[in-house]
Amino acid sequence: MPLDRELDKTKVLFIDTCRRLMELGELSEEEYLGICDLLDRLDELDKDSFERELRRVSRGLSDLIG
Amino acid sequence: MSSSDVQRSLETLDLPVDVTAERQVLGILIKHPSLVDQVVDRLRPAHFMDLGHRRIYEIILDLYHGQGRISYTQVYNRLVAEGVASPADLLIALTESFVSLSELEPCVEILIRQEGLRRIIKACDTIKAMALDPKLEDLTGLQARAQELIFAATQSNGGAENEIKNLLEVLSQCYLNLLKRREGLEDAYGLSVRFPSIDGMTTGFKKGDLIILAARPSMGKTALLLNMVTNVAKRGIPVLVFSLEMDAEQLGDRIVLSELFTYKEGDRQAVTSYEYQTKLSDEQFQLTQKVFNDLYHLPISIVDKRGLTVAEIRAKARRFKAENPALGLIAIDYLQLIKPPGNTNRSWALIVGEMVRELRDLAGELDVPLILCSQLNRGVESRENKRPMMSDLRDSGNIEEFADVVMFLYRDDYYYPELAREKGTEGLAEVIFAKQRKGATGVVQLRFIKEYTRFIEETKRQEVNHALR
Repeated sequence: MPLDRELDKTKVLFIDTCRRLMELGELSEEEYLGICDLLDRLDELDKDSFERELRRVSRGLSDLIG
Repeated sequence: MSSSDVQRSLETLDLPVDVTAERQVLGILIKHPSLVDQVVDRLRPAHFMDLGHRRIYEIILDLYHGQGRISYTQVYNRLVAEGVASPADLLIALTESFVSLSELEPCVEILIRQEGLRRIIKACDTIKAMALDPKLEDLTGLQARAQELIFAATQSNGGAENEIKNLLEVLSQCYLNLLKRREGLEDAYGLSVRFPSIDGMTTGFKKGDLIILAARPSMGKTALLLNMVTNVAKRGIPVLVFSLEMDAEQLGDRIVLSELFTYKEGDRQAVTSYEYQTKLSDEQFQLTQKVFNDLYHLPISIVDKRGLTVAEIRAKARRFKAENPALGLIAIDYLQLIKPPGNTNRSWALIVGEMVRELRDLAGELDVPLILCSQLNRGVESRENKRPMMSDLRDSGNIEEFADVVMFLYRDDYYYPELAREKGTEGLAEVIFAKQRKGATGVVQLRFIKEYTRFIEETKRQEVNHALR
């Protein structure tokens, strides 16, 4: 459960950061929405699928994290 | 603002609140959306005192009803779209709020309890403010309003879980009723008014039903109503009568007179109506005293205040029911004398319709049959056949739409006394069942002894049996 809580907390911080990036023009709205959708489906994806999906929805963010 | 800051700030409102429990519930619901099903019919946004929490719960409900995914990202985006400050902080507090799913139920219970307490406190505050208002003039109005506020505040939160019955439960109750009828138990039927022909048509008035007893003036509505009321009370069942036309003493005299009809001396009445109202011999006085003694103990309560509103009737009936849980019947004489609510631009028909609907709701709320007398308009007089019809009620606000039973009272000799004498229908009264939601329509006959304001059975036994079948 503590790990779960940390994951949820990280998700909220992550999406908050992405929104700020969108406001700064670093991410498009389409990319932002793609990331939201990806986070919602996080439980369904393994690490490789997640990275692949993230690259698909936002090359810039993928490079940033990568 | 930290959790303890919010708690402290809400505590200054002097209301029961548990911000931690609110967070726990929201945290669990966002993390485990399938659990929304377990709380949706019990928790309303008002159960959350913290406005941020309340908004989050509203978003959760919105997503739930719109089949949307409930998640931190969805809730986050909705909060951002609504311009809520620091949505991330608000949500992070939720992620840290609970340890195990088993916390959900106790926390929901806490929120329901505290919201119930807050409603009571709020109602008391409102009543206090109204009572201290220097402009207050109408004490009766305030008392009625205060009762309404307290009643509303003390209603349980019972939600759909109590309203949804599966077929097994329904049929079990039906089967139980069937067995009671088979064994001839009295409570298998509705409330008997001890007129076999009427009971035969209705199988007794059902709890929660609104029964309209309508007729032209002087047809005998009040007499029949009082006869039924007395018959019910003779079995020890409490009855509450609202008499908006006659005062309580007039009703009392009518009840006594109606009972005196049953006493004969040889082939004449022991006490005539005229004698009762003028002077009695010693024997007649003793007999009348006996009738009084027989009637004293009947559980009939009368409200004879004129110009009551539906709200006042409701308040009085609720209080009576609270003090007399065995209340078995409410009777109101009559609809057109109920004071309509002020300051309304609606048509008379709409106002009457609304009053009737509210009275039907009252019958349901108190779980008793409610007999409502109603005048019929003059339209009846212009027809050759003056027997009332459903359409005669229509000008008065779709009364029939809300009624479970509509009974019309009609007497031939009222319109055609000579003809009635020739035809031998003098004194005969027809009770026309124009609508029965749970039974057949038809006509039964009673005999009206006008001098004694007393109805007696006229429909032959085999016809009553037929109606019962």
